[in-house]
Amino acid sequence: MYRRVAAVLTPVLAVALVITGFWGYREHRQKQAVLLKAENQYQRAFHDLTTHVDQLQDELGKAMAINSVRQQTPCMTNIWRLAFAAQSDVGQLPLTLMPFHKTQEFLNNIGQFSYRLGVKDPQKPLSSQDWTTLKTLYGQAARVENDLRQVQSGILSHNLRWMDAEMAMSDNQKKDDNQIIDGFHKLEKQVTEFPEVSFGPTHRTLESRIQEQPAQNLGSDAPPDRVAAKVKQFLGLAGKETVKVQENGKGNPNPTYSVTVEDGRASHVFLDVTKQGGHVLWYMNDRPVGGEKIDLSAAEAGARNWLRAHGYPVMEMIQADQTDSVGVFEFVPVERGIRLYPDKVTVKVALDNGEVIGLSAKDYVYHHRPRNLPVPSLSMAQARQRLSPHVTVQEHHLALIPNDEKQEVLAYEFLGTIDRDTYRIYINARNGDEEGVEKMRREPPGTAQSW
Amino acid sequence: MARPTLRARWLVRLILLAMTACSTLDAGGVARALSDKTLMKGSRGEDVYELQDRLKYLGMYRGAVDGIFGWDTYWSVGSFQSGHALPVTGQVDDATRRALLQATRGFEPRHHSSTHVAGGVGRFSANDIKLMANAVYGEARGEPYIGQVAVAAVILNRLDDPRFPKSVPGIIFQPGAFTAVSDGQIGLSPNPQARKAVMDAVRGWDPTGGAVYYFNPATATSKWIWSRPQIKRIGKHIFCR
Repeated sequence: MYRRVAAVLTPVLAVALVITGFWGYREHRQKQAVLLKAENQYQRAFHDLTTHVDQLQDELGKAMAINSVRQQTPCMTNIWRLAFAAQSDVGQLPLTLMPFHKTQEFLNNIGQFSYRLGVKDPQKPLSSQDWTTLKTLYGQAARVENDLRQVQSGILSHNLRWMDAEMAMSDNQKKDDNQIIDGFHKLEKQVTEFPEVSFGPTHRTLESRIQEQPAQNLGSDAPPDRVAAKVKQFLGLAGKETVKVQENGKGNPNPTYSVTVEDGRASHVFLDVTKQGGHVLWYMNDRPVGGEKIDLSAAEAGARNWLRAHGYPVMEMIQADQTDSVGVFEFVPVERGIRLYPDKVTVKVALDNGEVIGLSAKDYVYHHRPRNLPVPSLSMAQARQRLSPHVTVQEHHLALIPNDEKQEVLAYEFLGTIDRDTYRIYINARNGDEEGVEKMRREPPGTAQSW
Repeated sequence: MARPTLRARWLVRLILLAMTACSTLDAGGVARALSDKTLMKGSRGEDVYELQDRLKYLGMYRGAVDGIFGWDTYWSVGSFQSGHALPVTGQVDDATRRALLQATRGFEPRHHSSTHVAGGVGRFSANDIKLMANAVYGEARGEPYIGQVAVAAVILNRLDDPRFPKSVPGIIFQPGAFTAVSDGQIGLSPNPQARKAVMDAVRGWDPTGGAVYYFNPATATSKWIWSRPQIKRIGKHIFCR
């Protein structure tokens, strides 16, 4: 009996085994092919990076010997382009889980420096300070290049794979040496030890919405209980709700409190308040919003009243937007007819009952202060002469704007059109410089999403 | 269907004419004419579609009929107002709406299928916003709403930080940056809440106080991430810079 069953089953199983084996082998091959493709992408990004840093270093050397604007402009523009390309290469490598910031900052600083000397403000001869900076950067870039070259020769001679480096990075328990990781650690350490370089007066270091420094003293430290009382008043709470105030960590250079309001059920009201002075940075109520009952224009009036009731100065609405049944409005204070763009606040209004369900006032808290506003030296008509003749002006205002160097300048703001495109153009009201041109983004047809 | 006889066609025309006349007499009574909402730059939805259609009918609007009251619509409302001796506000208020309905008597409102229109906001295209919503949904769909806004804010904070790639797709698809990308969850279609969270972040709300990293302390494997200066904890995530 058994023998007969076995006689039938054995060949069947044997065939099944062969088929399974073949299938497994094919799966394995396919997986290898996919992995290889990913690996090749990493390899290409890395070798591109070394090439770009190599060329970058050469160009920095070249720039030291140039003595005419005609040569300086293309050379500096090249440095700017190569620094950008190198940063983009870094973004394609799996380096997110390891410290590589200093090197990225280094590349970014070179880019900013060369942009200023090549595009923004080319001048020959270079000031002695700029030349010294250039020479230092040249030396530092050589060391970065050298470190990258060492990693590269390691990769080439030992057939190192980025895949393995990626595995080693995400798995900390393994104490394997990985030449790629070690090489990049060494590079990062090297760059960290570079002495500070002066990038000149117009350089922006680490400009971002993150490291916002208050332009004025925000006041003395507010204790948590005073913040809680202030928030209750701000929200007009009856008193039954619990207001929880928690001090945030040191990661934020401007100390803040996180505030949550609980009314028995799950909390849906959140605020951040500065520790100094106890100013509300933002407020958000994420309650569900019903159908649209009031229109955007009524909601705007409501937002305006709310701002006045909460002690904000006279404001002008500069931008409105609607998503589903929520209206969002941007306001700027107006002083002596001048729009103060650095002091913007954003207000969110629920269109079901007109309640203000959100405020974003970080810019206002950090920038609004009594200012000595300058008086325009140019008339509106004179400023208008400075515009491109192709622009049809539709509206104009006086505005205080931050320029590229993050200084506040008084400017005429022109809203104009060329064919169907809309532009915002700023002409300095003191000296007539074109401070900025902004094209309003227009959605290409067919890309507006409904979901 | 049989071809209508000549007489039948005349009849249809007569009826249409009568209907048009009625709608002129009482514009508010027609089922699909502009509602009495005041429309302004930033309005979206059904009324804006019809406004754009009507302006187009007059040859005063050359933009896309997309239900979004943008700059194109704003300028053409302005020029309509100045052409009809109305104060130029760029807003469709009662007077402007009456003048517009009067000027577009022969116009038949069309039906537009989608009423919730999501275009781009500021410097972000509709596709950038969709991509961010995918990332937020993949990374934080179990988190409270505020935690979802926070994840979107981290993406935006990276965009302004020179140490990270310089575009939304560059940041999201940076190798190893987001687990939802590494494990393919970015491909899940986001719910409306994730999209709402992205919109809030894009419009300036940042619950993280400027964070560029976050991690789940229960599952984080990288020791380095613990060395970053922390700001706060929201839901399961610790946000740091």
